[in-house]
Amino acid sequence: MGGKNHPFSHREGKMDGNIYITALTNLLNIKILILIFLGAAGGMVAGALPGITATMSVALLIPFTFTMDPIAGLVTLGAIYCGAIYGGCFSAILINTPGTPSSIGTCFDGFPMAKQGRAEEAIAGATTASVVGGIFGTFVLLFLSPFLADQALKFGPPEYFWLGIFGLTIIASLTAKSIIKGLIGGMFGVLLSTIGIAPIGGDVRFSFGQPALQGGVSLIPALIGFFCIPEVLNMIGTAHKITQRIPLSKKRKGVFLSTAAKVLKMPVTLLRSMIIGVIVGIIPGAGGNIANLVAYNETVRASKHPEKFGTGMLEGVVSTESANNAEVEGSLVPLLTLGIPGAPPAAVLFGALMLHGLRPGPELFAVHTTFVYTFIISLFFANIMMLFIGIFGGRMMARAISATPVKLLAPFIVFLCIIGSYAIRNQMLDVVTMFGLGLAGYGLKKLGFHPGPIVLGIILGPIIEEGFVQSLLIGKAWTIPWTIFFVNPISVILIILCILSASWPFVSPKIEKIRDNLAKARRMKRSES
Amino acid sequence: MKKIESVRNINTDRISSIIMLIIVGTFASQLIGRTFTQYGILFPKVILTILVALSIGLLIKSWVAPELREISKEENKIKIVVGIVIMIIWIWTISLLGFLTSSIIWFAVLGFYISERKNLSSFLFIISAVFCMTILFWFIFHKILLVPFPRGIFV
Repeated sequence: MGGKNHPFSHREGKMDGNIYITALTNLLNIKILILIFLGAAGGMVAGALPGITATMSVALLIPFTFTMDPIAGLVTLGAIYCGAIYGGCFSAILINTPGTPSSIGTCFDGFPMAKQGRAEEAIAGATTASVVGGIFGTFVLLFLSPFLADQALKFGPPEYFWLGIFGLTIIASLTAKSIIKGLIGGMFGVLLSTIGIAPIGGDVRFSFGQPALQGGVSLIPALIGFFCIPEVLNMIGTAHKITQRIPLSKKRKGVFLSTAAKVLKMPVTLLRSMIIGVIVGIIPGAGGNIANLVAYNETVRASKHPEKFGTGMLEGVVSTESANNAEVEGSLVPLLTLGIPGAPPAAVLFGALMLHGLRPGPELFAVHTTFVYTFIISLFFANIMMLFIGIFGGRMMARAISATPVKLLAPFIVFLCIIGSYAIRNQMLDVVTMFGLGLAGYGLKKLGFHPGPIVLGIILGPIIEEGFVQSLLIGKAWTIPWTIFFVNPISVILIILCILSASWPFVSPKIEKIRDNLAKARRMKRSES
Repeated sequence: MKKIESVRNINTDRISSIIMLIIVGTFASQLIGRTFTQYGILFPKVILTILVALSIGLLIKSWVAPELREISKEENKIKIVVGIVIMIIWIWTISLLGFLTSSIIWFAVLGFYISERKNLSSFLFIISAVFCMTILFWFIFHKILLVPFPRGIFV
């Protein structure tokens, strides 16, 4: 692309009232629209494969955009990013393995729905929530970027420490049946995250004499192992009882429309999850893996029936999927406005922007205005295309997995696990780690440990440790170094949120009881009168 | 096929706490006789201490209010153990035989092992499905995404 059809070279730098129209005109080009469609579809397929993360998808496909002009290239990569995060829901729902870390929470209710023969409903819910989340995030990116990016910059090490701790309080909701086991699982995950070189000091810890362990436990193999291998072993152990892991969905006309209507009737859940997604996305370093779990936790906490979550609640799927797709655009806020990527895939996009000769940051908005707005508005198109791809592709995938007998599905999942864990760093050690942790996960599951807190610990461990140690180093300049954790207003807000979140499973039954008693008393009074 | 229907309750709290204490001990043993910088080891020490406290708490709970779980119900343990052994051999032979060859062999073996009907038609169905799936994914990852899968005697 070039010459007259090259929108970037002809229209950059014009910031006037017609900027949106100009951006739209740039996008209403058949070549650009096809690229967005292919990007969203390709990202979706990559995201659905366990082990191929959104970051990998964007990174792997960057070379294909080298020959394109900046707008075509970046618009394609944006669509891949959106599609990959959305695609993660398919494997989470159909085989209980998050395709990307952003879909961990989707397994909790999505897979039970699939096991009940409601796979299509779960996918329809996830699709609608993802599209709504993505569109909401794009609006935020379009109108609130500079303001939000400024707020995100106020996060220092103590705030990151508390953000990590806040993330860990989700354990209370994930493991309401045995909180002590949930906490042990979470701490075990954090302990696993400390294997390897220390972020401050550079010490090699817990390598057990194995040089390969100096690099630490890789997140993706651990994620695949903990979620996938126990499920495969469960399939093998019960293969004589069941021939199909997921029952065929009953053919219901209009399942997508009726589910979409159900999702849109959850405005509070959607809005809360999308706001969480955007905020977590904006904070540099915290990505969709945290956003979806925080959103799930808040949905469980706000629900009148928290005990039903984990058994196949559509609301659970809606919360995680709307949050992780809103997070995509959230992570682009600091990237485009300040030049700081909000999440790992955004960091790869940073590289792509640089390759095309565009420096992310304030300069981008000032000099390449049309380009920025064209890119942002293209995300609307990507999300809308995701809806159509999801409606047809989702149904096909659900039917294909449902029709696959266990004798093929179980070894096929093992095959995908091996590919997924190997492809991250091209190391057989990652495959061994995945399988070892998978066996550990199976044993721990039998003992009543949920894999969620362990994985959460592995994700949040490095954030907490860095925040903790860096804060103490900064605090050295203070009379009492520890006070650094409690003085900043954002820290105080996060501490309050931590206390509320951790204590909620204990407090909420008591509040319910008081409510019930009050209602009973009112009824008694009425009947007496 | 012999069905295993027996249900046995075990005190999972006690087993979990003992396993966790062993894990903590194993990790803590890595700190003995080695020198670390103050900030390099502070955080792991805090985590180990918390884990010890939680494990002891769980151990006490195992006597006060134990959680009893049904450890085996409708699950064929022999199949699980054999499945694990097949997967271990699968992973081990990747470097010896090559990724594609070992995947085709052990994918088919695992599929045939867990299949209820062990006859020729079932075998042919599994073999053809395995062949198509492995070749397709190998092609996507190796040829398009350029993932350098390990090579052994074969591909």
